[in-house]
Amino acid sequence: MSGGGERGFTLVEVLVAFTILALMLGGILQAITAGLAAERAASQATARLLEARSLVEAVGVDAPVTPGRREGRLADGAPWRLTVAPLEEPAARLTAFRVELAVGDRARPDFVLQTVRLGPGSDG
Amino acid sequence: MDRQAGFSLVELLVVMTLLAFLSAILLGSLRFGARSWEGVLAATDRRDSIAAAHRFLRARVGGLVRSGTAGAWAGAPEIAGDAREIRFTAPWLEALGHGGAYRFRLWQEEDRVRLAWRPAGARGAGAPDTAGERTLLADVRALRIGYFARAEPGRPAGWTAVWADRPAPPPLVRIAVDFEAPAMRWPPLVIRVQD
Repeated sequence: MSGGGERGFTLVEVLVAFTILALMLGGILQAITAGLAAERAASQATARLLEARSLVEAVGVDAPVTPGRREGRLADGAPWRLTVAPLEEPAARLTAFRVELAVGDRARPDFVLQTVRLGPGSDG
Repeated sequence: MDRQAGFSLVELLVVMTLLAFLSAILLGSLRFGARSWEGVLAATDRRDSIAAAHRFLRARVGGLVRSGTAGAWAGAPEIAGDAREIRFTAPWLEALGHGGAYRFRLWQEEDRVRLAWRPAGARGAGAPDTAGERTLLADVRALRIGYFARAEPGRPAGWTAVWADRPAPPPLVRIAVDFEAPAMRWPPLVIRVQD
């Protein structure tokens, strides 16, 4: 009688063990999923940063630096805003401009790149 | 006891069936986990190789050196090329422990973007040979290089596919890469050349 009882207990034991295993597996899978999402976010951030850098580098070369605002979207659809404003009082020949590129949400951009470019002064 | 033994057989069948089901689920999950893991590793590798290529090219093409014999950096910056290939001279301080000016060549060879370098100018006898060549990017369908030309009399400013015999370097160089794999994307690379 006691031997039969032991066998019955083994079934429960196996089920409990498998349940524990399944729970652990669920946790591991959740971690992997989080890792995948983090990797995707990191790839996207890297691509955006590289592309934004290229945008800033071209400022003042393909067109003269003029104060103002421009908007556009990166290849993955993220919005960017480029702001050019005089850094100081315009001098006669050359003026320093602060160039600022914000990528992402208007209220809370993902990142902002800043640089300074020389542009035409008040004499044109 | 007989009843107990009969129950054990059913028990065994039930346990075996359950075990089979659970093992199938378990194995499937493990396979999914392993695939995801490899996927993340591959994606990280791709991202790093693209970012590294961006950084390297931006640093090299962005800081050209002028041609001339050693000690006399005069004359026009050495940069020339077309849509498929670019050659330029740039400093490479961390190169193999022997920094200095190097002649670089970047071009597409089958489905790879290759980079070759050799020290610019004469080196003393016995100097170590620091020339080399390597694959910068793999699985490439097309490499497209553009050069921005400032406005000249009779020609407006704009991008051109050939840069040769010019007195000054292009203010901007654009390097675009198309990959075979749709998962790989090369962010637009525009380099501002110091002149």
